[in-house]
Amino acid sequence: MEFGYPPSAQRLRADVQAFLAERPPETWPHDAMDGGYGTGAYSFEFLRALGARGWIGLTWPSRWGGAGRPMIDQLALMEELALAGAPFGPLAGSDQWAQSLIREGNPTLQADLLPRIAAGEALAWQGYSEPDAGSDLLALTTRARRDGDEYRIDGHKIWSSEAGACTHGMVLARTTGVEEAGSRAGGLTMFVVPNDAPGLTLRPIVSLTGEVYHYEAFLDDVRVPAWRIMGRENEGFRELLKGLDRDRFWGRFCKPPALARQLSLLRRHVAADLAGQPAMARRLVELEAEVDATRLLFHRFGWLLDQGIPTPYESALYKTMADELGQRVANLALDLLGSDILLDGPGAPLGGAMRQLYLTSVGQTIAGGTSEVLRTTVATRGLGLPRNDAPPAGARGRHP
Amino acid sequence: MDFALNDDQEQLVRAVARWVDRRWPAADPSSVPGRRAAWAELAANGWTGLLTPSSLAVLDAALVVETLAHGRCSLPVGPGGMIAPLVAAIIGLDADGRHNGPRADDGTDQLLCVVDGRDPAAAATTVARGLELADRVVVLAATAPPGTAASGWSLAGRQWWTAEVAAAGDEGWPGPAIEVAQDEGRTMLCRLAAPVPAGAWHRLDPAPGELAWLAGAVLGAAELVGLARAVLDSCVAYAGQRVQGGRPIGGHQAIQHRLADMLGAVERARYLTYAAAVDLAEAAPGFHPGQVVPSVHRAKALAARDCVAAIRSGHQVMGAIAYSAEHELHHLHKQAVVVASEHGDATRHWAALETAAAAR
Repeated sequence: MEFGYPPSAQRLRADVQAFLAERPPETWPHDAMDGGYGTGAYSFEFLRALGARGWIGLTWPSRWGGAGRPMIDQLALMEELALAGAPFGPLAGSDQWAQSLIREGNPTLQADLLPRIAAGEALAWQGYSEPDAGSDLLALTTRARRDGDEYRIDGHKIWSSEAGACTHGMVLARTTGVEEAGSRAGGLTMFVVPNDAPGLTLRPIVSLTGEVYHYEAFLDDVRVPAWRIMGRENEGFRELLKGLDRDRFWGRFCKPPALARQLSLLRRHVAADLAGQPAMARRLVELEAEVDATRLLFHRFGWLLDQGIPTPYESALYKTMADELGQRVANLALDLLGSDILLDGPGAPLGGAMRQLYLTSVGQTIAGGTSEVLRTTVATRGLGLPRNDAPPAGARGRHP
Repeated sequence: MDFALNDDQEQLVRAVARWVDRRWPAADPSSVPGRRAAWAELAANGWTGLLTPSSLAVLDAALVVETLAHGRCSLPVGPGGMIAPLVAAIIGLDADGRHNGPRADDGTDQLLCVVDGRDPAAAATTVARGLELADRVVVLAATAPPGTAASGWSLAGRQWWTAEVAAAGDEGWPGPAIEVAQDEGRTMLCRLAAPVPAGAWHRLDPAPGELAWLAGAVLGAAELVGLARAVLDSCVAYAGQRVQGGRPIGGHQAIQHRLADMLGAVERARYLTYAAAVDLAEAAPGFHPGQVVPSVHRAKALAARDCVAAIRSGHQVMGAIAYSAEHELHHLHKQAVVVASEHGDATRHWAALETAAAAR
């Protein structure tokens, strides 16, 4: 076993540190806020700077303009950015979008989008959830029907992160009825819809932080050419599942290093008072240990993915652990700062970083799979426990 | 970055798992001769000699300890089989070969035990596991400098001492260790029968003393991980087969989620323990007194806190049957409670990290 980064990744970390020393994270303009995933705010200027260094396409094959570097180098890049608190919000999503284009996209889509993604000029939002299809995604009702060389999409998506800051949406829609498809998982197709497509309206949802992270998307007879299908028609859900583990991995990989940074900020902020608060000092070291151990689990997860070893439960388990750990760190910040944690603007403790941590942590155990659903996934897929889809024979609820 | 065991380690784990699966059930855990015979087999396989002053194969040792615990082996292999011989070797007690390996011909000198981390003056009142099996006992003790307690707990600045005494009575030693905690006919803990004779103490260089103690902490974490894995496996099997209300209880989310949490606790402690083992082995060649290896403290503290909690949680999954003495869970639980306090309990390891953080 070897837990450190290899020399190539160490060199990359040094390069990232030098890049950030040249222009520190706080000097880049923000275009959208930090949703608390550890990847910082959206800064298009920062993203373009990463693209100019070849760091967006770090692991892509060279035929797509990538550097062909190993995945472990990407871990080093992302972790270094998270430790520094850099505004690299869309980086992981860009890479995941590009990876699915490389894997499933048709040549027209690839030629259209990959160079723009590599340059930091194209970003995608996920149009999966709907008002009545959250944890039960297969209940979605958005429809797309063929009309010549086009599809016409009607539906309503919700909780699409940073959709207004992106250029395209990945919209999952039913193209074949459940009966004809043979299952709820069949008959769904993924479309790449440009944000400027006529009939697409995005409505920002102001979150409890006062910022906008999520959008509702209304699709009213949105016309999309057939070449904008990602992957195969009617196979959209299965293809979505293929990338789900990686999505969840990259969606939380930066959380532990970001929490390490936040604990470090917190420790410095309360250092003078800590000697008189032994219970708080104890909680700090306990959380530092948990963060370190959780970071190690994500390294293991990344290694498993890189090796092509199946990960039936890891994404569900580690995401839940990281999110709940973030809530415990946020609770410690609350106990140390009291109601000052809610202060914003000039004079806010730690520039409002703990406010952001505390408030966004509420949503972490909901977004991308609730902890309740994911624990069930761990139990059934990881531990082999029986599914409990139906009540036992003769069971009847007591309440009307 | 590589989370795979190498071929030798894979082979080692397989061999230990095979042994514990086939041979340990034949040993009577409540019989001293039975346990000594099992110990002799472990030693004959070379699994108790993995740590030497010149080669600290901590990960290999941790894998052996974890695998034995996972197979329900209750022998104190970490402190007794690995750390005690290491300490003995540091001060040259193994020069004549008395203390390593079995002596099948006369059954003596098969076992060494460690009473760890305490002040020499208190050693006589200290309890440890395995004393009832030991022919000779290695005591590892550390004296804190004045004022240390007030400023937080740490290894730094301690003077290290060791002594070797006979457990079964010989010159200057009055008799066998006193049994102080029993568990269904199994001896869990003993107390040294009398103070260590003053002339028996050897001053130990701080660096090897600290290293031995930290290695013991890693092995303790590994044993806790093995025990928690065993309990998790049992709980998952039970939840899958125990039917109530027409369905297996493992189909209920309340049970599923508890077991998912147990898995998370076990995995976190497990990989941190492996990382601690690697970190300590890497730190060993240039180790200096007072050097903090954070992952070691974190691993032992997290394992002591979370693995014991996971095992307690197992009682809730198993329900009333695991409240009975005939079920194995209470043996594993009690073993975990004992291991959690060996080579520093969670409180001491958290305190060591606090002291290190305050000094930064």
